[in-house]
Amino acid sequence: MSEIEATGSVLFGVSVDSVDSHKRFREEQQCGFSLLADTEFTVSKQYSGIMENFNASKRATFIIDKAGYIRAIDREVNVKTHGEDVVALLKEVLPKIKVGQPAPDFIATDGTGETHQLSQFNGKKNVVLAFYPRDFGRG
Amino acid sequence: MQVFGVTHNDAESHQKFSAENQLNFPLLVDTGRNLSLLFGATSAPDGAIKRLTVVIDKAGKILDIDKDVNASTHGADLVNYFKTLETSK
Repeated sequence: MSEIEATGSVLFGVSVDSVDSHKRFREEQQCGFSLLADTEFTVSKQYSGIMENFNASKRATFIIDKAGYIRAIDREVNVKTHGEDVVALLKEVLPKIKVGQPAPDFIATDGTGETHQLSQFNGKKNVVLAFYPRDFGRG
Repeated sequence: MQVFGVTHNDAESHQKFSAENQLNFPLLVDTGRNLSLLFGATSAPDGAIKRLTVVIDKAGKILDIDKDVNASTHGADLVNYFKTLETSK
């Protein structure tokens, strides 16, 4: 398991190169993670932005938590130390589910379609989250 | 306090379950298991959701994590928990 996987994370590289190019690059670099072929610039436009003069994705790192919230954006990527930087950043910004720690915010919809956000209860109510295996049946 | 139930079942299932058990609190839909993963309530890789209760105080801080939930006395346990909390203040 890589250090990144050990934090419960999955890493994706994104560039505007083709699937073929990614394949060659991965083999050549013995790259242990997936490279996404953003040939339509969709992801790059939404996240990193495009370097107009090179017609390529800007270098940037986004950390997204399991609820789908962006926890960190690093636009000053140091290519040489990027791997260890990402691990350090993950350890710093990923929410720690421990007594005494702030609870990570989330938005979720209930059975009637109503939306609830945890931070709406700040200063108002205690919140209990009861996770259970399934609606009907055993357990 | 505000109670939320969370499972991976969809809205339709939640509505039926709520009606059948006359629940007076919302059940959150976590079909993508995002919430369960975030709070450590799921065991990868099968994605099954474990019984787990997380109590968050008004300041947004995690007050308690209970992994040994007794399904039959859970409601009463919670009420007692908050009563003890109030009196200990």
